[in-house]
Amino acid sequence: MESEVLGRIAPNSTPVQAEMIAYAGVVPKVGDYVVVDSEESKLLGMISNVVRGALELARNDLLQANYYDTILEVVGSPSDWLKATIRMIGILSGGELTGLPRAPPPTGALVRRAPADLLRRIFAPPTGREGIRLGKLLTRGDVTVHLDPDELISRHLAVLAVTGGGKSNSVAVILEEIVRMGGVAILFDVHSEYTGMSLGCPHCEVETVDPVLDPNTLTVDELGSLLGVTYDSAPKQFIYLKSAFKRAKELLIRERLGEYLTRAEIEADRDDLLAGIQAIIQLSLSREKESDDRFLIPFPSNDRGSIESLLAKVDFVRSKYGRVLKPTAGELADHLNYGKLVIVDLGQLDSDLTDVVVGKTLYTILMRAKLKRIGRGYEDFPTPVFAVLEEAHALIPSIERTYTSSAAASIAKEGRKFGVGLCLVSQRPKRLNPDVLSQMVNKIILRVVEPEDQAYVRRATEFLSEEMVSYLPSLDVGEAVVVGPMVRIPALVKVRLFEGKRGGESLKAYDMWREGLRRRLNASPDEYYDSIGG
Amino acid sequence: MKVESELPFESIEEAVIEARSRISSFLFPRSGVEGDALLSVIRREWRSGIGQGSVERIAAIDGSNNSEYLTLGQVIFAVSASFFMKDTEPVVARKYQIGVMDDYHYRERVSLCRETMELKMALRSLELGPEILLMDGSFLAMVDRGLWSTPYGQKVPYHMRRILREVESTLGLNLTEGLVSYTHLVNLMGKIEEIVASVLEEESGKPPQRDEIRRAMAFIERYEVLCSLNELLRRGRSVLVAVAKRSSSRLYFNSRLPDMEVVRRYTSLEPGYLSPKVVELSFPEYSGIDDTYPISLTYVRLERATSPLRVEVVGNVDESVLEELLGSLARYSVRGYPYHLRRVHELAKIGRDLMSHLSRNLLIPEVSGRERLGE
Repeated sequence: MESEVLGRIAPNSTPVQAEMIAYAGVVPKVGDYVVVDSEESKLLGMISNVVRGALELARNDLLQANYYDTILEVVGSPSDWLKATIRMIGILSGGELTGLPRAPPPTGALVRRAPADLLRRIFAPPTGREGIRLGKLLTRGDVTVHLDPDELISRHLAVLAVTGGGKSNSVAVILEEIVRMGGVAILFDVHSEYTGMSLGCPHCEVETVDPVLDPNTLTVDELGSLLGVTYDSAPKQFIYLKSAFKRAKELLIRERLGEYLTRAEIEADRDDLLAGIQAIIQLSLSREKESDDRFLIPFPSNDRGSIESLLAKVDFVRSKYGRVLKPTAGELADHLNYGKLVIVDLGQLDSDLTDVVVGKTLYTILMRAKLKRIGRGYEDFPTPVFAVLEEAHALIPSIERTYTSSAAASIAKEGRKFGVGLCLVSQRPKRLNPDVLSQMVNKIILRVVEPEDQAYVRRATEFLSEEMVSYLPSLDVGEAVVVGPMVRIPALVKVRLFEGKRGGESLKAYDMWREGLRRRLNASPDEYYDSIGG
Repeated sequence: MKVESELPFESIEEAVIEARSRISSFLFPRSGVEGDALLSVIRREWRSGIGQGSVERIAAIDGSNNSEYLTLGQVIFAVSASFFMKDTEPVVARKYQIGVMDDYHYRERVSLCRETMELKMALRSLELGPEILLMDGSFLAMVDRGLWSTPYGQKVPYHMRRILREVESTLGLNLTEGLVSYTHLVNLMGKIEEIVASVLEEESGKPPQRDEIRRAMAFIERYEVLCSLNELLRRGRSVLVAVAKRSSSRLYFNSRLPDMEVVRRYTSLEPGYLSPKVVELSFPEYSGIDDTYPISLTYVRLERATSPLRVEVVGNVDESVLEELLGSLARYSVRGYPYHLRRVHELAKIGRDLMSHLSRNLLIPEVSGRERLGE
């Protein structure tokens, strides 16, 4: 069946862009797909902008609406004209998309709305496989958009939007689909938004884990990050930390660490590496000059201040993060499995520890995937893994280098080879590290209001035109521009609602207050005072 | 005597200084006797404010024309006439006449063609029953062309009457019918030229020059305008109104300044109008049309701080009728100009782009002579 005719191509078209003059009464919509009749083939394009005017009102001197009233009273409805900008997407050959056209479409060529069948074929899952069912085309409620999971993992993803724009729902939908396929996913939940999340399918498993960190598995660099002692910021302290780290490790292997903990009167497990480091530093500071204990650190007297400062930092971190630092707790990556989503509840941690936990876990995942791939162990480690970072602008900021940003940069570069996909979720794209963001080739861009964020998104996204960027503030909740190799062509999508149960939906303040008031009024005074602890 | 003492050598500054005061008093006679006289007429005849008119079925007619050289001696021309009427649904009509002609006074002849089409469109539209039919321009100006009224001036040769009779009787034409100018119709043009040539040859006893035939054709075109105007005034006298945006007429004040300039300078910025002055429209003697028509002439400002318009109403209308009419125009005016006229202007407009498009479609390159310069 012939699809709806919209208009004809106006002069001055190029191979990448053309203008269409619409037929009277036809109102083209931004984001809709069109097919242009070219000489030898048909071209697929997307409407990126629509301009509308009225012949009778096209005067510069009508500066009061009263004039419009007068004119409309005389002519009735004005003679509308509409001009649409079409971005060319590709050549259609036998219903299949091939490369971009090399010549502009002919002036006067007929432009039709792309048939739904064609769009369904384009947005269908890859042949013989399942796809990630994201939602429907915004302008075509009858066309479902599927993402290609292979491209999603290997080319990474950024989900960008203002707060309340639909990021979390989009992430939940993607995770649900990945786990349903038997995929492996880990979500770093900075605001405890996803706690209590459950997925609908029978084999889907969701495990929410506390962010424990086994200090014994940390490298000296990771430990330094946690303590705020790096070679760049405090070289002397870092050298002494490295020295203490090395000695404590050796003591641990020789099963003599408990002996030093007892001597330093530190209460801790005998295999707690961080406590051991503290003990070594403490004993080194108080040892007699003639002591020949090789596990204690010799130092000149003018370095005493640096060592005391290092000791204070280790003590501070142990007392502050005691509940998170658990020797022999294992790694968060140990929880990963096929058909399972691991949610790391980071809501209780401050930003420094969050950085270490996330960075450490990302490095561990990448390292295990690498070793598995090259046949050096971890054969049972489940891959590929899809790692999602909420509030990515805080963890991978543009202005400083964090531990997480180093890990994310490594995954962005190498993840494709070893089966680790990264998903950055952010409401402030311009604060995200541009090097890392630019490697998130797939993008789901929901509502973005702030002009600098829009410009940033525009620069980082190949297909996104100026016109489409200007529509980003007006997108409704859950409406998204989807670009990248995970979809065959760019799309404006209404992301479907996540079907499972997710914590962290928007606060329903009114309902909560009403319910609270109802309970207070129904309760006897004694019950009420009991409930508030009075 | 030395030449230097007799012949002046002025600087432009001296000339300007000397002329400035004279030019100023000529252009701005407000302070002089003439200025006082004009002010007193304005005070007496100017009616401030315009009420709300209630006429709904207002129609308007306008035309446009343009021409372009096709070859070094011939031009292509396009003329249009358009009609618009506000009814329950807007009624719109437009007619084009496109043709070629020798470049003998072609600008004037194309203008005559436009006037004919406007008048014929007005005649045909009377059947739709408009309560007011607005035309752009002036009825009085259409008949009074002064020294340049015909290709012969005022002294039209007697044999032109015979040519007109022969054309009308031989071809069975009523020159007021149809929507276009007959002399430019391709299928009639040759026949009319044959009749003209044969009469001229009989009268002079020798084959006529090409320019003589062209001149007679131009006269027929002028006559077609006058016949059509007479028919329109006769049949549509109760509804016809001509509105001019620009005019150098001095009929109302008989002053050195054009009437429109007097109104612009000596009235306040508020809406208002002059009490109508009735003048008689009569046709030039050479046309053989004896009918006369009273025309009520006024100047009006339809909206605050806009330029005045010259308005001719056919008939001897009293002030109350005029105020109702002007009130109806004011009600539908945009920036001080009746919107109906603006609409028909937009419908009729023939611009340079259209002419170029036209000659391209005829596959005839435009000839300006500059091609040889490679321009």
